[in-house]
Amino acid sequence: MQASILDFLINFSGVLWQAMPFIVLGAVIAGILEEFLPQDFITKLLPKAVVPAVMIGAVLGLLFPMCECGIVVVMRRLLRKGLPLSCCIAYMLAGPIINGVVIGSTWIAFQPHNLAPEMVGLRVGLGFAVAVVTGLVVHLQWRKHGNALLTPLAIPQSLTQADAPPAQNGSASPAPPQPALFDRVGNISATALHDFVDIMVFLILGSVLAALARSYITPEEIEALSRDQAFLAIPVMMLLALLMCLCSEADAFVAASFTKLHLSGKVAFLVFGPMLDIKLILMYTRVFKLRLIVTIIISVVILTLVLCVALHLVYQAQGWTGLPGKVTVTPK
Amino acid sequence: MPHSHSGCQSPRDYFTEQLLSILVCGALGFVAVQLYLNDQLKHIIAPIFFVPVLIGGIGALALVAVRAVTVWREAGALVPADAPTCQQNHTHTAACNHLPGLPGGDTTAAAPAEDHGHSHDMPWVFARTLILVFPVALFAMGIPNSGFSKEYQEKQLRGEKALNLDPKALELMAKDPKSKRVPISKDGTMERTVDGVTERLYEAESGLKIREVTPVAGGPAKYVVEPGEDTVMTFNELNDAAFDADKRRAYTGKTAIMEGRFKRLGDKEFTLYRMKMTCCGSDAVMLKVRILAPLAVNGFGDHDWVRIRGVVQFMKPPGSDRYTPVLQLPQITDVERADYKNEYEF
Repeated sequence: MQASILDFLINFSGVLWQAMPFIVLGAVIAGILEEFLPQDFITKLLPKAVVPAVMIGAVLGLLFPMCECGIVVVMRRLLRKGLPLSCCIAYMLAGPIINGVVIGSTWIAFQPHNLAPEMVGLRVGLGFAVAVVTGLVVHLQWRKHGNALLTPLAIPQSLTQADAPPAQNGSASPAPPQPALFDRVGNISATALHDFVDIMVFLILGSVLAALARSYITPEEIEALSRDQAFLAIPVMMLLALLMCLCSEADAFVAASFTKLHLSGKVAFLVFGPMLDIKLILMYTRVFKLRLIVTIIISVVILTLVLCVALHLVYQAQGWTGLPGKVTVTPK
Repeated sequence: MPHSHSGCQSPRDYFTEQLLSILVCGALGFVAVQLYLNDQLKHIIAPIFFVPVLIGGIGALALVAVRAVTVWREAGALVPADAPTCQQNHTHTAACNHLPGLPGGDTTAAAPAEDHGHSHDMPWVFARTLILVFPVALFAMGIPNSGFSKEYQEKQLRGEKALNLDPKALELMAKDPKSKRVPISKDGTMERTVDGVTERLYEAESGLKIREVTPVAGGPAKYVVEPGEDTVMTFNELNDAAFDADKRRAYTGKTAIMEGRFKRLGDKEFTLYRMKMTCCGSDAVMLKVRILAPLAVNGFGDHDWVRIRGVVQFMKPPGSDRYTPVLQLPQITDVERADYKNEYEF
């Protein structure tokens, strides 16, 4: 087989199979949420004010840890269950960063460089800020456009069932009979299979695009570019994250391998990657309409860029190197 | 008169979609398990994802099994369209026992009923299935069965420049004023004469030890690197060490045993390389170590797997401001052919 096709297929298979288990997990959780989570249950627990609600959405990942592939599926079901769109966006963007597994892997990746507390703090902090602000921006847009921002499948159930006769206060309609356990398992499997198939299609398409892009641009070229033009390091690392489509559970190790890169470039890579990459954008099309996807992209790009540049300037002003610390290592 | 769910799926379409979903999800689960069992995942993703892929595959198969039973039961519960209880344009109720999960069916049942508005059109269902079958087809063709191509590796090796060290480099290093004489044996002896040669040991500023071998009968002295204790080293640790002055100092003079692919740069110089993958193929990078041999190296072609034993030092190749690990072979027999290994060092 022609070499370039073989290399394309290896890139494609890598992105796809690395993400596939998390889509299965996300789909099963989506099925369980759909079956067992009462409509608007989470919404009732959230504060009424938008800002605290969105901030809680951004740290929901600590309760429901998911990486960025699985979270799209779970988030869509939460959206259908009545969780406000702004909270869902904050959860979707920050969830793959602010969760125990990813915080742990980031810590381990940067520990040998003496940067672990710094990197974890900055990744979580900036991830939280980008997710919350984007959530609020989306909230403003939602007030104007409402559910026209969503694909039909993502629209909250209470709205899709608007045709049903409204329940009268006091005149309790007879409660539906409790379904048997097998029926419930069957329902979970129906939702899970549906969501798995639905999202896998776009994961495959996204992996194809990512592998195509990767065939033409190599990380070495991008790293060289960021080295030669220091001011380009942050946007270039964001571009790299967009193309590489790495799992948020492993990307810290890749970022740590850019030894000579300033910390701000690594933070840009680690904050941006779990929020936006080629396969994720394709998967977003199963939940959001184009207008909302564009809003998310613009907001996440600008916020990450601005915050990371600000971070870089602070490091410069303080005279901090932002490079791995000296570690004395004795070979075995 | 045929029964019709206006604007919804017909039972035939519903079952077709379900069966296709079951088949394709089952096939993907099967492929995931097979990729794990056949050890094919090592070509495309890092080991931390191996077990998740296996669990994902088993999960997909379990999901399919449950769904298959459910759909079987749904089909069994289906009331024929021309049944007397099912009249044209009737109002669907929970009692009418159509398909659970279908619009108009049992409203307490499955989620697809709520997916109204979502595209269920059959051309899309078939197109979707074709896309989903793509990874399965690749597996059927035996892909992935190797790492990146030779051409890909060649591209990454482009720009490697030979160090072309002065043949007297070791002598100059030994005689450098910053170098010092050190004992040649553990008992503190500074010089010894065996087999008609006198041996002295120098330690260069970098920490590299060089043995001076002078024939007692007279003639020019030879200079060779002094091997230390053999240690199996990884490309990762040496390339990592190259960035840090303290680590460079700690590793210099150690003797490394390494296996990798061969790429000739000159008669006595070649690059030993291996790929590294942290997450998946898209972050794969090449890790290289420069090898210097005491004599011309023959009998190896580019990309052959070799095993070497060399003394570690760090140098800057021409035109580069970065240190690279350089391994100097004490003897020409310190490079030998090796078996094919996994392309990646994790």
